[in-house]
Amino acid sequence: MSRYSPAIENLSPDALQELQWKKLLYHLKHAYDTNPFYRTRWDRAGVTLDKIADPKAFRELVPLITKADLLADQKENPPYGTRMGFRDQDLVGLYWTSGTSGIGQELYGHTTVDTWYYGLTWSHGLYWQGVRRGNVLFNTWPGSVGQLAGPDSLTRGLILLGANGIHIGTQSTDEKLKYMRRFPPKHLAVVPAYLQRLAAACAENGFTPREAFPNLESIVLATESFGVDWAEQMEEIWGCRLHEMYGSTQQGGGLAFTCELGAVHDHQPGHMHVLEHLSYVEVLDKETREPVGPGEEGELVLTTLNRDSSTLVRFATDDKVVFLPRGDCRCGRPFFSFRSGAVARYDDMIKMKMVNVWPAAIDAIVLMRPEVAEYQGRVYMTESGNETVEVRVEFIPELAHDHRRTLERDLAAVLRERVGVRMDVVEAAAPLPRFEFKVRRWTDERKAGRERVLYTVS
Amino acid sequence: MSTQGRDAEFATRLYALVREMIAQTESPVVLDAGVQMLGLAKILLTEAAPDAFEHVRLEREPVA
Repeated sequence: MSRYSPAIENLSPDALQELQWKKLLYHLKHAYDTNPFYRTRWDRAGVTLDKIADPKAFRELVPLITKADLLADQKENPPYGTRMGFRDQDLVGLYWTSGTSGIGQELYGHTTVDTWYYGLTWSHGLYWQGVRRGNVLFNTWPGSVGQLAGPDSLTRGLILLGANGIHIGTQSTDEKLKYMRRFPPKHLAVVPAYLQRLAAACAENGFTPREAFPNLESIVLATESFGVDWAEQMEEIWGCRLHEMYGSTQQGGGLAFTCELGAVHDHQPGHMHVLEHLSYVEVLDKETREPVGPGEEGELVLTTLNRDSSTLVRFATDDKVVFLPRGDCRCGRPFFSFRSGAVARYDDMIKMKMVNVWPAAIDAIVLMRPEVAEYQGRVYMTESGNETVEVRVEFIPELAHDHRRTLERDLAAVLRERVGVRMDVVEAAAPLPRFEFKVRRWTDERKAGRERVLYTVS
Repeated sequence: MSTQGRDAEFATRLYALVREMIAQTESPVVLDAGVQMLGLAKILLTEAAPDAFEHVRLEREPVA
């Protein structure tokens, strides 16, 4: 396994943790001395940095911050809030979050140094995933340079690595395929939903991905969870290895990447190795706020160690990850990992008929079926006030009519058994929207429905 | 000296050289290019001389 950064990747886990701890302590003092957002909060909370002797003390003494805290700071201190940590004239750009939470967009400023740091986060993962100088990588995410951290930091990573990044996020699907056939890619960056769409578009155009893109060696996925079966199916269709990365605007690029072994191997999910020399990451039980054990899921709490501007200390991301300990992956790197395919959002969770359901669980069932092109779900109240869950499925055009009814019944049965909720599965009346970046398949219409029912009966 | 040791020494010297150039130049283009080089020099230190983070983080970048 070739190391991109031998001085870091050949450290023992103990030596890496020792380096990380020293960086964290330095970073905390630096944040207190230079960043009014943290100084104010820590003074109010009575935080004494000298008392932070170990990770437990760090966890107990330094309070968490949330998206709501950052938005409040921005609102009270426009335009940037008080946590940039630099003078306005030192900022050379801004990212803002994509807003899928629905409550507002956090701002992240960056300095010149930060722009190189963003690229550095990506260059590790891209190298592990086989990208080399001069390789063509097609980036299908919308926008390559600008306010979205994902595509912009990827661009910077490709520049640092010396790869030939072709950014076609703004093109139509057919245009994307046209350019990909013109400039044969070795690598592709795409979200899972869109990878499936591209495969379907190849079929519509009369060729298979394997035939059209024989040079393709890797596909890097992000932003959606997926199952092992789906990943293996995609590898078979595309003829190359799938990889995954986890990143965020808060991190400023990538935080964790699969290694050479990929997103799935030996019929098991792979490991997304966390760049622990660049960030201090905790995976905590959402209720108890204690670290979870190996194989357990928890909330990712992020402290950036290398960002100059807009640094974060104990930011509760609301992202749900599965923690895998150091040494769990046979690649031998010293980092701990997140399970590949398993990242989800806590705020995606919908309570359906008293059951906590994450859309990812339904994706894993419905989208696994090759007969399904896309689906949407909704939870609503009927006129008589019954809570109802509906899954609307768009089938592939060549699926025979009678087979569609059978498949609807099959899916309903599997969903009932595995998710524990009775759902009506019906065929969509019209083609459903496709997603090129963040996916939102579910709507919760119960509030409006409850109001309508109340109005009707009063 | 090991390869890693040599990388660390070059990274440290380069960082110091770029800082000195930025501090002494009166040319806007040298300053602009120098600040970009400072960003690269800092990530070189992060990866090649990871223990050298303390003096790096005390920096504020110069304003042209």
